[in-house]
Amino acid sequence: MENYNELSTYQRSIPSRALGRVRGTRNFLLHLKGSLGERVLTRENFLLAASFLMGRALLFAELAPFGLALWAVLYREKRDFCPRVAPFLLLGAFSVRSFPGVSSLLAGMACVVFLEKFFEARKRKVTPPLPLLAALGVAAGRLPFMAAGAFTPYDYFLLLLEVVLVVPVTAFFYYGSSLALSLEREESPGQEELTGGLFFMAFLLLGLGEGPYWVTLAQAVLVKAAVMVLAFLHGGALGASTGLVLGIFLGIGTHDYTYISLLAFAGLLAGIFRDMGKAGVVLGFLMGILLCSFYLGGGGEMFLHLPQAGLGSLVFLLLPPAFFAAMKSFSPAFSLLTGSGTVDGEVRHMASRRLKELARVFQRIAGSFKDTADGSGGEALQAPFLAELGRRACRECGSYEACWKEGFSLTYGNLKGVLQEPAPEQVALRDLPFSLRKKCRYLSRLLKVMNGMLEQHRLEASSRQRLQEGRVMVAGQLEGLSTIINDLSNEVKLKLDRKEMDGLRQGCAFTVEIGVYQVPKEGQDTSGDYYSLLTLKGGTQVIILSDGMGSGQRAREESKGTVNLLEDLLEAGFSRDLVIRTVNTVMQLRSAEETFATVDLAVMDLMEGKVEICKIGASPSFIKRGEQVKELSASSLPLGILSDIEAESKRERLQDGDLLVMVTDGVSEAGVKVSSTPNWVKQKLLDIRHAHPQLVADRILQEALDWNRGQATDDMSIIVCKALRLKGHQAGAWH
Amino acid sequence: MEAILNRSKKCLIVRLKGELDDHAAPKIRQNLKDMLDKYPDFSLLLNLKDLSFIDSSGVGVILGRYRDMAQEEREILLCCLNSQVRRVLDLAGVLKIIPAFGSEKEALNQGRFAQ
Repeated sequence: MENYNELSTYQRSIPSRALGRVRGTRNFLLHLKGSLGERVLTRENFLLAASFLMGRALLFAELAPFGLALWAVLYREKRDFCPRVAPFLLLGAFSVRSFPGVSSLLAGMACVVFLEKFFEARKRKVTPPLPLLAALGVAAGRLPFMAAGAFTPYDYFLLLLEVVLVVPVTAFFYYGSSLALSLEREESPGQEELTGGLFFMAFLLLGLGEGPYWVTLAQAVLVKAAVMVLAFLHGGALGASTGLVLGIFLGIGTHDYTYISLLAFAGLLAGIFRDMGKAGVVLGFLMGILLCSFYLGGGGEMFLHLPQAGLGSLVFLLLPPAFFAAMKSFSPAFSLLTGSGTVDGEVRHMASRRLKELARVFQRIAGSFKDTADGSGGEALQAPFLAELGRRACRECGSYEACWKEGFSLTYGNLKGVLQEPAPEQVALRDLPFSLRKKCRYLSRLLKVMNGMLEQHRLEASSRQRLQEGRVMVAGQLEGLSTIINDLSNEVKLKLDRKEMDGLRQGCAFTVEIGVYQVPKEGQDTSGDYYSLLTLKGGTQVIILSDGMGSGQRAREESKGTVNLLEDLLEAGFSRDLVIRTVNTVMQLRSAEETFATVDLAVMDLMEGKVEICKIGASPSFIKRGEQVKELSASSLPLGILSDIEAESKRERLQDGDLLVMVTDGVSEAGVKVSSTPNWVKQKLLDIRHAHPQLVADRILQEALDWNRGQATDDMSIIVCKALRLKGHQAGAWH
Repeated sequence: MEAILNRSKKCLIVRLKGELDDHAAPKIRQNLKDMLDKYPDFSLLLNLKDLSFIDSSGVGVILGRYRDMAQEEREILLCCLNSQVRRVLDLAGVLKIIPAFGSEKEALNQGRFAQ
């Protein structure tokens, strides 16, 4: 049933259009499963074909490190398979370099086998690094033949080059083969496997080698199809990287390096259109080829690449769905880029890290805003002000020179005394020093200009002040955002662990019945209170009751906004504490006015039979159990006032038949103006005999109205929630 | 509402009267704002002796002043709370951040003024 499994993973992350097509061809596939899927498209056959090509692969017509590298990796990772691979490798080598090729490869392979056996046989287990092993193998394969011939410096150079080359190639194979051949390794697949896989494909391309025209054409066509396949399966990013890597190696063969940019760009576009299915991918790819070849080489190139791309598209379109399913199963690591599957954890960690970085950025920006805000001190009336005054008021006066040039220090001293901090709103004649009054002939003019300038100065100062307040506010907001993002980042990490716990829980032990009654304030159509009953995953019942400041539409918007935000965050599964803090920050940011809303939050765990009550500026709640009534109150500030908020919460164990009663202050304060019983709701609850939650809500609200002769003096809301134990679950204890 | 300026202690004493509810809140808020703007380095003492009723809107007025003044590092105090007012302010968490005293004199002799 292996193939079936592969199919289902395939379906999970394929665009929806493609999914539909896969489903439509399900029967065809099941049919194929017996023939093509299992007999031809197996990993073993793929591996054998790959071995043949790797044996053939040559760089610069002389270097062939690929076959040996593959051999070293396979001998360590999949030894049982090696006897079958060996002939294909050797055959590949024979097909390009005949006997010299085969014999040096054979010598190298033998050397690797000997070294591996040698180290395994030793008592103290040492595993030499694979690339080193392969390098020794390469040397062993080449040296005897060099010894037989003449030692030319060129031979040494080739030997050195091959030894150097085999190291990264082995590494690529090691990572790439675990991807392409699904060798099971402990570590989670990552970026290395991905790159390795791509290079593996590229080396295969080399294996096809240089040949007659039709071989080169087949290469170019297959590469294009491969780019489309990967773009289709994994999107633009991988499409582009495939195009890039394959383009480089195709370039080695054809000496046409325009392939690199051409394929990368076309791969990117193809990935972008993958939501439109295969046709979209082909469209995007052709578009990319057209655009790119047009800009790169003018019109001429187009005629070279376009037919190839057309053929490639044809190959891509003709590939059976079974092929895609198989491809998918070869490449668990590719899902790193699409964000699904086994690497979920890694993605989360990455997301968490990114969020942290983002938080730091906001923090830094906030800091810079603060710096500018703190920077400027008091608005002292400085010398420039006086100089300007002299220019404006006294310019035309005959004594200007006497007052502002020779007698400057005296005038300056006189006026400075008048304008001392804090700057006066207006300067009257009597405020001026006697000496000045005696001396100046144009006092009224001087005063007029001075007052005009003061007015202007004040306006400037106040606008500066406002700007600064704005800065302080923005700084606060940014800091708030930074905190939220930071918290989110921690939460993302935490969720990893919590996910597993949730799976272990069983069914609910409790169920609830809820009664609600709301009356808006007399003369208003809408209540400023807003509530929500929310059922979360894992048997959690949430009741949110919020009282917006004031009454009517505006208050309702305030409370509704608060409740909706709370709902969203709770539903997303964030912790209570973080939810409260986030809502608080958001409410603070929303407006500079003191609009605020209270929050009364009850989170009931119906599996464990627990309730947690969290109050932010909200009226006390009550739990009625049998003949007893317990008051649950907490004093915390309403949301949106302080940036630092700590919500007080109370925890209670639930029993069968418990009534949880939540009210807004319109209800609890209803009796205050006319009676001296501060806690009438508690008293009333003790008296009430009803057990149905809606009846209890009705009775209490009626009484609240009765206190003021049937008039609602404020928005009134009451929510009564009855906890009922389901049969078959044992009773818990009080506390 | 009645306002007294205590220049020696640099304190603005405001005596609130009647009910501080949805209806009265906007006017009182504006008056307080104007006065605080006019005396930018004064503290504020709210005498609630004759305040018979306060609701969430009233709490908003007081917390709003607290928020503004805290930013400028100015002090705000309360005194003479009756039981309803005290209970509402307590539940709203106001008394956690704004100190309340028995009388004006007691309040003026506390904190920053006492220096």
